[in-house]
Amino acid sequence: MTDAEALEAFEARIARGEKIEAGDWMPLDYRQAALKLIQMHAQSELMGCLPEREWIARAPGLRRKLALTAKVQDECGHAQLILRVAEDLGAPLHRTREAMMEDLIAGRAKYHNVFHYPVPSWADVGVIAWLVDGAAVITQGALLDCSYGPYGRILERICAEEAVHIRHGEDIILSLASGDAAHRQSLQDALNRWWRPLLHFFGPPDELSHAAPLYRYGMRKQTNEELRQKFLGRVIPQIRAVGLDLPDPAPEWDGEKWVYGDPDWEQWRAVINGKGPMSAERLGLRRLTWEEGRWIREAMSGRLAVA
Amino acid sequence: MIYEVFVKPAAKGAEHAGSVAAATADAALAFAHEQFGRRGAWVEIWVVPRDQITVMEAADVPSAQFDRSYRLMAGYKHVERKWREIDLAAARREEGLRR
Repeated sequence: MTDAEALEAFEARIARGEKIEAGDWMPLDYRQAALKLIQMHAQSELMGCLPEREWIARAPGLRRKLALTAKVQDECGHAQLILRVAEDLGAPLHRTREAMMEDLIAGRAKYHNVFHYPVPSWADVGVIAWLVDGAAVITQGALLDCSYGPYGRILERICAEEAVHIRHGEDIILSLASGDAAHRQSLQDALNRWWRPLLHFFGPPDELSHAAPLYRYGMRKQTNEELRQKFLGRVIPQIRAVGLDLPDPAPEWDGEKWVYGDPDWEQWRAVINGKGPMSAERLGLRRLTWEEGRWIREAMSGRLAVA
Repeated sequence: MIYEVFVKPAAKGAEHAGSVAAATADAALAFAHEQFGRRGAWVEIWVVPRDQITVMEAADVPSAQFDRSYRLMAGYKHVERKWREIDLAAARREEGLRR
């Protein structure tokens, strides 16, 4: 079979809705684009542990402490599941898990913008679980039916766990919303802080050219803007219902879509390139744990000779 | 030797289907094909010697006995109740959204 015939057969499989499996033939641009997406997701889960982790010791009450610990543990677990998928996909390109982690701690890998920001209050913890996880479940839900089988299958499990995280976040914000004026103000302040990063989360409306293979090969089916609109349609009624004000400039429904102003995409670009308020500190912690954990990884992989 | 049989349908992970008794892995695959691959759209059949499977039982794991409802949707029924009290439907109508 020539490469052209193989590509034709591959595209026909995707057109029939078949899933591509780890050992299957795939064109190089598919492998590279899928790996880039999946690796970014894995590293976002890993970095996403850190902001909430800061609040485990300060969480009010045992049940909330357990729930927050479980959420951080879930995210760490998601990173492991996704890295396993990435490893298989990257093997023919000699992209090992170690290389992916080295890229991350050297600041060469990207992860979601929202994990570059500080978490100054307990209300922020609630808003993160309610809205950041709410945004994540929209992007991940849109990938459930992606053409790469191993990724789609682990996303089912991940989305189910994210749904619990969102409930945990709603639990926190609904408690604050029914509290006193100071509680409600802390919630409003947290929402105001997170609003722009949340608009940024889905990426700019004009798709970047490197995303083209993702659409062509059925990895992605909905655009950044479609996903953002879906998110706004879901959360704006919730925000209003709990008596919060939409942050300025408040999005407006024009009869077809939410119009949300210009969220300054240059700021988004700077943040994902490691110039966010917490980028250096969080990456520093990740680097420290990577280095301090080296002996454990070596022992577990059998590379340390046992006398 | 007993082999456990897993069948992988298109687009899904392999699922445990049953077991076969066979002298070799090749024979186990042939039997597994007869027993579990006669119909339905499968793309792979796997056989694993039963004695090669390492098992953990929930009864032996202490944390499995604790209340871990905070990890489950069922542990957040009160949140659903609160949303109903808040009348999210009214807020949606107000927004004029058809969801």
